[in-house]
Amino acid sequence: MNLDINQMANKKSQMKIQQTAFMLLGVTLFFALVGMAFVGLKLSGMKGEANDLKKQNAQLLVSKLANSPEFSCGDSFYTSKSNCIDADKVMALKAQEVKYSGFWGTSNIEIRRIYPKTNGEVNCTKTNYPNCNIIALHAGRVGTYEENFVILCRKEAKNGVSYDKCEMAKLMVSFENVN
Amino acid sequence: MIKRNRLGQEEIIGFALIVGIVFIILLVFLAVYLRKPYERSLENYQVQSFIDSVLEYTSECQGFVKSYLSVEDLIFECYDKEQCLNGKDSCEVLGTTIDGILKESWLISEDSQYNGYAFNITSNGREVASSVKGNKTDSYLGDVDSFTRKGEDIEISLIVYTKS
Repeated sequence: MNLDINQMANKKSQMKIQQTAFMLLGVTLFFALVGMAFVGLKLSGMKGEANDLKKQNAQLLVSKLANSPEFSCGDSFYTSKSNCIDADKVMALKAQEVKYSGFWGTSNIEIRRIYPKTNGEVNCTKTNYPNCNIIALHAGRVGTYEENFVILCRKEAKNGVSYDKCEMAKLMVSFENVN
Repeated sequence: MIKRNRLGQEEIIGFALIVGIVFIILLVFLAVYLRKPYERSLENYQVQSFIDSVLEYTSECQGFVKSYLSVEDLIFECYDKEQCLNGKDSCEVLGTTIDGILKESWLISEDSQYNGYAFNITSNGREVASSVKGNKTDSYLGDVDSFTRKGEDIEISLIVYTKS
């Protein structure tokens, strides 16, 4: 009779130990899953934030780049203008683009003439300038573009008379997304 | 019995207070998280830059001082109802130039993010030129620029209606 009572007590204790073990396992698993979900969520958010930061940097750059000394018209065209890009200057810069590689911290800079409209996309080179509509700097790795409106000016001659010709263009800065 | 009831009521009030505070904190957090004024102001910069650039565009209208007039000069020529040196009507040149630039700059189609635009040039309350295209929406970007020359106040406004 005493033996039976002891056996029953042992069994009860074993059950309780088992219950505790299962409970501990369950709690550990639960926290591990919650932790994994949290880390996953945080990591995906970080990628989004990194892309947002890159986008904001590109937006800031594109809104200021036209007025930087390397691009701006300065006083070359009658009066000083804001958001004015000297096309002749940029073509000279394009010839030296290896020296400026990484200078603006962006992968690609493009100036695209939008008006007057020309058919197709013609990249500007020394030989076809100004009969072209795209001036690309550091062309190659293309990501997402941020753009801004600028006026693209150059010296033009008609009937032997030189004058300033300013056309509507878009300044585009590309950045690579974090995958 | 009364003491027990009072304790219960106090606990319920405390619980309700905590729930309320947590709810307010969540609302504040959501409001801060969802608001993105920075991006909006940068997007608006595009409209400002557009107006600045349009004014400097070289038109097909020949003038006395410059071989070809900028849109800014053309506005005053049109206001004074002057003719270009090459015989073109200044208001006609202004209208076609602005229409062409707007059409190529703010593409309105099903795939684009823009729904329409309204561009206006006024001087002393009189309309000098305007161009309207597409549909109006509640979401828009816009800017107004003004300048004075020879006693004439010129105001230029552009509203671009977006899809989102």
